[in-house]
Amino acid sequence: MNTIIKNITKVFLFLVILCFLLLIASYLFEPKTNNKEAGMRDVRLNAILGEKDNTLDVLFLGDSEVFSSISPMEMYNKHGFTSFVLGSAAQQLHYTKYLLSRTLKKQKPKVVILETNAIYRKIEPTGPIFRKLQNWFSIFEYHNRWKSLNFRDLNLSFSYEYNSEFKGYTYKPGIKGLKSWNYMNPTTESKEIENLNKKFLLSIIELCNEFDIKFILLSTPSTKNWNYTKHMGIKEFASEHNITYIDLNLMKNEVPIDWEKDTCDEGDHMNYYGAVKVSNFIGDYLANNYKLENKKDKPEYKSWNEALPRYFKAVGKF
Amino acid sequence: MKSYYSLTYFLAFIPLLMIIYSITPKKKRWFILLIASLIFSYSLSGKLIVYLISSIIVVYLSGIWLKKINDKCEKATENIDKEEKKIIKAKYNKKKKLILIGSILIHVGILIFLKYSEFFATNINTLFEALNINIHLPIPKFLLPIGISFYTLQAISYSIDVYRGLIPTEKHLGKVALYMSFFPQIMEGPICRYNETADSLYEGKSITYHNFTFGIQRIMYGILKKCVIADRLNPLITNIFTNYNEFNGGIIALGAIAYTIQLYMEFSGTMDIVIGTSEIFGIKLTENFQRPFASPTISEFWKRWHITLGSWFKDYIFYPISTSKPFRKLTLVLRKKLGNYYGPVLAGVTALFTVWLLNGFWHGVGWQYILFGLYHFCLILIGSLISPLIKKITDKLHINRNSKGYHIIQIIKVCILVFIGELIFRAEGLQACLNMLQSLFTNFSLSSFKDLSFLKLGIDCADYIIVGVTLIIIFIISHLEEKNINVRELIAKQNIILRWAIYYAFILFIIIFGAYGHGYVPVDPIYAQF
Repeated sequence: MNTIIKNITKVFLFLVILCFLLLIASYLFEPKTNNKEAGMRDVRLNAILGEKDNTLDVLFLGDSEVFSSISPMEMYNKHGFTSFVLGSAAQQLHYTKYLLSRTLKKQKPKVVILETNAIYRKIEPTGPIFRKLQNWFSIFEYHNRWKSLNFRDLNLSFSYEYNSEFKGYTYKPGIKGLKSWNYMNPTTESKEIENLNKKFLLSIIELCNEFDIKFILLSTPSTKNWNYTKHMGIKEFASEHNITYIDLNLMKNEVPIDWEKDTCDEGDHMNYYGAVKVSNFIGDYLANNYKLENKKDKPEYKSWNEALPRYFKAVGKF
Repeated sequence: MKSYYSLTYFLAFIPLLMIIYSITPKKKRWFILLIASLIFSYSLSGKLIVYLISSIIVVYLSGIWLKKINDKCEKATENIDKEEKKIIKAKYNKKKKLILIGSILIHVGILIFLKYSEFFATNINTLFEALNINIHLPIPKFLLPIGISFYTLQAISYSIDVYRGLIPTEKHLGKVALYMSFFPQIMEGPICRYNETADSLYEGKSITYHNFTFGIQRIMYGILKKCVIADRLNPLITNIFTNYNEFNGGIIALGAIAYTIQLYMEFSGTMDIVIGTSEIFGIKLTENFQRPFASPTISEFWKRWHITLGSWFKDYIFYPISTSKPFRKLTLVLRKKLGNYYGPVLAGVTALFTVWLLNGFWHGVGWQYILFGLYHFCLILIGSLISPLIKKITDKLHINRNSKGYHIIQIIKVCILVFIGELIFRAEGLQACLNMLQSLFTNFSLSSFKDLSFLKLGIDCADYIIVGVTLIIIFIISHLEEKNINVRELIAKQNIILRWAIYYAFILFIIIFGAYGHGYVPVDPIYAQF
């Protein structure tokens, strides 16, 4: 018995020291600032780390659908409220939850909007475990930085100074339209949300409730990724949990998407013209329903006002 | 779980199994391993596990049947004279042979049906088209259960060994099932024989601190090979073998070398994980590799590479053919005419040809695999035929065949031949294979190395350096093992500070330099696809 206890203690001690070493390695390998040159991953969404604390009114979450169709600067220009798109390619809900909880440590948004395409993306059972590991020990995420480590990395202080005029949006000017489309044929069938996905979705909602944030589900226009059975699945979930659900795929009058011109990849994602239509509608909706203050005249939002011309220059409006 | 290389396997499956295994009474532990094996197989193959289960039932029933006939034969031959005994035995042997053939046919039949019917149908259609015959066979496509090529060979070896009386019949269906489906080996082998593993599988040894730590170390060594080398080389290999038309022979040679390294690291690394996992449970599996790149001849190489497959072909194909009655007679005649060296050659060549044809077929569906098998057949045949000539020449030139220099040249020669063989093996189809070989020999150039453009083919200079450093580490460990020095024992003898420092350095090396996570596409378990 003594030997067993001794051996278990040895294994435990070994693991504790290993965790300590991993922590040190994580500090060393984690980018010290949030730009691409420093090795930061997902710079588009990690630019949020450069936003001043408690300055964002709305957060958008989801996959490529959301970062292609929502442009926070269009909404800021029209209504003056601030928002950010925490979207990443093929985002899975466990990562969505991580992004949200990380952001809520520094921001107090009034509204969180989740684009629904990510809800139907399959989560590999190991995905959340690996995500947790990466959260605890960022060496698992940034191990490949051994190629670019420098003396700056020995200084273990972090300063996130980079912020982007796109605020998480990805500008896609190209046009690759559709000749015909007919993707929202009404049906009573609904696509079920997988259990693991539902678990993470509920935990995201719970997190929003905890911080007294209004949670909204949004389906942005996409002929390739969206259909009526998915709409029904989300609709059922939303009504069961008393959540606001907006499906722009069924709102042809309010958001008149021209599928010949407003998509960059034959209906998969919105291009800039489609994104402006979606952002205008969502901007109006949020401004009308959630009393979001116009920040344009406030000095602490000077950086947003300065970013506006840069944004419009980048999207070719100047 | 999709393979051993998953967090679920290492962080959930193995720890949970260790706990359940440890608290189960010794006698029932084999049953826990069986349940774990079936769960593992199901997670890999889903409903296709039904093929494995059918195979288990066929093997089990044929074993029982063979035993019954043996028992009847023994009873019938009690207290009778020799001549009569012979006649009765022959009668029972006929029955036994029928059962054995039945069992083999079922297994081989399922394998051919699932794995090769598409290949055969496609080729027959091509032949019909060439002959202007207006028949078009439908091309079937079946999903293969993971490990079918491995457990089929295990099943056949079990049936033959029971038939030959080399092993007792296992009377418990569950125990046969465990032998056939043991989870660490179901994906990529080793192809174990019943008499080598059965006892330790059923023994239910306790998990000791020694076995646990040594097992984990072996697993880590496997992960090092797979994640740091095989996965890191993946973009380079995929690029060269996919866009081979764009590259000169120098780059094709680089691709062949890189793929050989990748294949060895992936396969032997997986074997380290398989054997390490078994070691935790006190189960000793047969080794599948023994430093193959230290071989001075191709036939020696194949005694050190995928050992269990080679020994399976030797015992169940080569010897049964070369020692069959017709060949024995023929060899006798030829010995008188051609002498003792070249006399048995015809029997050997026929058996060797069959072995390598089947070996090529076993590895995959496609003409390049058959070409791969025949390439090695030719190398071994030529090697053995010219060996007396080489002896004579080296003697005449006073070259010491035991010298280090000669040995190193032999090793380099084997490596080059193996690289060419693996190029054939990895090529995406026969045409691609022939084009790559043509480019290798007619368009060879080192220009891509001079202008450093080889650093832009998927991996950069830093990647090459890290692959090189890791290969040196593995070379040192292999060299020590070749000298019969057990590296794990050697480390275990050091004081705790040095010992743990080595372990931590090893773990951190894998975590930092492993090609995993964002931006990397790990190579799929290569042998699991066969």
